[in-house]
Amino acid sequence: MTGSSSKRHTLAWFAVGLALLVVVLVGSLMIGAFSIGIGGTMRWMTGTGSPDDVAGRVLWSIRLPRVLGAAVVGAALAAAGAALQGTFRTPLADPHLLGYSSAAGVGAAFGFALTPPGSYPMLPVVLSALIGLLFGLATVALRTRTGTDRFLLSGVAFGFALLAWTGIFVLLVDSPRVPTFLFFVFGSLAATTWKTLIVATVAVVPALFVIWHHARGLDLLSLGNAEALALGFDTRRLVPVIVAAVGVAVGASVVLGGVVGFVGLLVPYVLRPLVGPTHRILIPAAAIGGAILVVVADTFARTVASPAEIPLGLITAALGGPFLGWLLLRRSPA
Amino acid sequence: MTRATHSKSFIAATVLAAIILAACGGTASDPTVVTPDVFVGADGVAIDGADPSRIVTLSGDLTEFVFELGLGPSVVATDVTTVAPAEAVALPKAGIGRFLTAEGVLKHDPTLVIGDVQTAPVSAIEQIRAAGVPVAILDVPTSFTGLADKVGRLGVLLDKTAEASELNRRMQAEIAAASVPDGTPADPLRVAYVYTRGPDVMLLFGAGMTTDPVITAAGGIDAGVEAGVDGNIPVTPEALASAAPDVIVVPSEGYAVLGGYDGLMAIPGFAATPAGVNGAILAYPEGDFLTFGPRIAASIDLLAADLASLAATP
Repeated sequence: MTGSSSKRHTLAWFAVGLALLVVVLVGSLMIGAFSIGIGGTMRWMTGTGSPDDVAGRVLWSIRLPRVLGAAVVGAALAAAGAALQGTFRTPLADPHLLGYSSAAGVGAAFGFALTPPGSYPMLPVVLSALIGLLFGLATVALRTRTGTDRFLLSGVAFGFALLAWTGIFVLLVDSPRVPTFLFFVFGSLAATTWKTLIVATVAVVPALFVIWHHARGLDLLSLGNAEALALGFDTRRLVPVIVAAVGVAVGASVVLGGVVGFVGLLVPYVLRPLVGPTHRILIPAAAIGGAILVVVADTFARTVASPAEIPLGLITAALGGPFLGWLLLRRSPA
Repeated sequence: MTRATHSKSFIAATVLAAIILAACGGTASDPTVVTPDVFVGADGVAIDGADPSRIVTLSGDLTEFVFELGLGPSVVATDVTTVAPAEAVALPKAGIGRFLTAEGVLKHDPTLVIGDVQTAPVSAIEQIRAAGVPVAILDVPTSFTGLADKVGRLGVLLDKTAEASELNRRMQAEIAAASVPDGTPADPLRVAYVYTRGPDVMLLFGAGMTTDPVITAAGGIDAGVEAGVDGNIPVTPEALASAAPDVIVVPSEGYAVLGGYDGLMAIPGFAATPAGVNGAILAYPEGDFLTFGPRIAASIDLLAADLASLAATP
């Protein structure tokens, strides 16, 4: 493959990905407990629908922030997964599996308890991102002390403990401000409002940009610390920055959609053969792919049992769980 | 079934009490005079000049009250806990009031949504409000005075204050007629309400539940309250032993799922209670006995009669 043809190849994939994202976003807008349909959605999008009719209100105040929220959660988790896989040199690194999401959940739960209903969820995002970040830095310390399998298992163990603490907290405060425990186990975008979307997006976008900015460093890290050092990269400085950005992105996504698993595992794995392992390409590709996956998954979550909902994380886990199993089995023993 | 404990509802109640006292010191004990001009919800959100042309109700008692106030034809959807009146049961369902989704409500194009402090999640209420539809939040009263206050507030909300006063007069008269006079029977039975949907859900009700005033009015002693239960707690053999009820009241739906008397006795703790020993189990349909609404006097009547006949059998 020559340089220019590979570039065209990549651009083609991005074009396809973005087009697909637009299609699923518009498609998801049309589908829901309240039937609007393609005609109503188009009328509303082109500004010819009545701003006061119920369809317009449902689309604008409920469905649009939710669909965009799904895209932000998916982008954050998938890009975070790709970054962690590069940093820790294993395709099994994932913000959920390594406990980042559960750690962020502790901060989110605490923040929610202190936030009056209807206000911008600043505190949940700040606390969630902060604890996500600190946990991320702790995993870096773990990684330097142990092999891949133990590292991953320790992440799972800490994740369970943090989830349990969140559960204890949620049950003890028993406040209508705090989402149910299910939100911290299997996620949900049902509570998305413009306010949560805006606050979370303001945190996610710069964090993803920081990750993308260090794409070259991620390429070298995925070769190994020694190789990166040989090429003049100070990994002791680079790794904490990337992991902190991952913590912030995951933290903000947890405030928006709760703890949603397997997105960070599934999306980069599927995309690597398509766009290659270069992080400058892989990170944005994963963001687009993650957005598509979560928008589609959330559309199922809110329509399968309409007007009730099933948790978003059940859909991603139903897809991702078997995938993880297969991934583990096909790996040659370490 | 969390207990309705809201600091805001406390503030609202305080404000209301001040209004009553300011308005008419002499009739402050008459709950039917509670008529502030603007509806203020239990969550502190006021609604002035609601448009009741398309109403969605999010709890069975609210549905019944709205129908009693003459706005039945305006109700376009109810939540699944509505069991009466028959016209309401036939209406489309907007979901479950305790597990609401905003779209499930909005798809009925309501002009007014009426819920209570147990309507959840709060985020769904916010989403409905953000869509421009007012959501009125009522208290979940646990006394007959609170019930009258709720009806009065609904009257203000729906601009049916005269009808609300009339309904209150009728209800209070029916409750008074159904209630067993204070001091009788001389040796009241200890009655425990156990909510069950099957072996997985078993809750002992206590103070702050709507079953407490009903049990008391019917001439019983609420054994859950006596045992110090605040709200409701999962049933344990210890809790049952400390409540030591002479009579256990259960929802008939859950009782059937358990397999009736034998099924209930197979659950640890029940057989050892006086009620278990004597077979004093009463089962009433959930939608009737637990709906703290306009038909509550019938529940008192039924329980009082059953308690009297149980007391008569040695």
